[in-house]
Amino acid sequence: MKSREDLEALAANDKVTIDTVDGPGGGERVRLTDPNGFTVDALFNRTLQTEQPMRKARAHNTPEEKVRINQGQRAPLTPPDIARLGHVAVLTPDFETSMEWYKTRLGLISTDVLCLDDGTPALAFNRFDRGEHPADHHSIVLGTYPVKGYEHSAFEVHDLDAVGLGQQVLKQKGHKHEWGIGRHILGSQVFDYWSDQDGFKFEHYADGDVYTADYETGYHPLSTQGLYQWGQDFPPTFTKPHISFSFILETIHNLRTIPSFTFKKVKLMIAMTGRKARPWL
Amino acid sequence: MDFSLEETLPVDPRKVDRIASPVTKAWDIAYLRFAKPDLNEQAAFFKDFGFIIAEQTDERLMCAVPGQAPISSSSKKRLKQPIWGWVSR
Repeated sequence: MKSREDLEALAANDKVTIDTVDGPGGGERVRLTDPNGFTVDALFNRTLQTEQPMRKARAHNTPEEKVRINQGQRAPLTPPDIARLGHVAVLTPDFETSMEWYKTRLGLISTDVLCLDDGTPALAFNRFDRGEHPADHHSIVLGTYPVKGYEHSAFEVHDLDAVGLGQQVLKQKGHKHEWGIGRHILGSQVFDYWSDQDGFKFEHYADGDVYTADYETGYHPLSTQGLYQWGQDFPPTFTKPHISFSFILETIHNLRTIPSFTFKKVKLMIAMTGRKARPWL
Repeated sequence: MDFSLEETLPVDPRKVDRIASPVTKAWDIAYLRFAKPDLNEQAAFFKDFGFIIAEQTDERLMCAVPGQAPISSSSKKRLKQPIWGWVSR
């Protein structure tokens, strides 16, 4: 938060206390609970880690300009330096209430919104309102899903070689690859998705878009068609739910208790995920 | 070729309006926190992914990202859900 007043405003709004953070980073915290039951900490006066040495982005030769002469393109075959946490994608059966909650408290702006065929918003790429300072295309993604959950988080690396060599290292270590390398359309990141031993997805990305506060929201259909410009074929398993007994029970519960989560919505979503990615092929 | 990367909607979308006066305007995302059963396995994945392990005990694993606050910890305790944190500059 920009000031302690922000913490005070959030604490008053949600009727919670301001606590001192005992752990690393210190500072003060207001601990909120979103409509899905996820804990959201708002922080102020954190002590940031000291800068650590990181490699610079590689120089690229173009037809017009040769900046690398008598020198090969060699990035180290090591895990990439992670420059920053870029975004997290959250799944929710109550998209409308969740959007309202995050936008009201954190001032998020939707950069791009994906809608069902009847025009209902179903997924939003939200960025922070930094005024004239550019913010990532999205930092918090909220997407409609039968059950609440974590979808993935994404970490920025220096350049395309860091994404590529990062893939080599994770492959060599025997980790589970999910999808990539490719370039997204909305946000434009060059991406590569991996999952850890528990099936949690983590993304390396480079060269993403940034926007200032005055950029207007874009609206697009929700479908696999709009996911990427080029790269490895989209694996259907990427967004396919793991249908367990508890998944079915929670879905039925959500259909009965959340007014905006309807059978009609589920049907429209299933229809749209079946569309062909990259229709020009 | 008349394909476009950008698709168009068949109907007018229901707009997602901005909130006129939000309670705050957050500046950045600070960290994520997960409940994980095996911190050694988690540390191995995180190292291969590129994180620096800042602290590992029986109870928690902290990863650091240069230039940011410590960002990603896992607790051995079974937290119900992941936690996200937001900070300003």
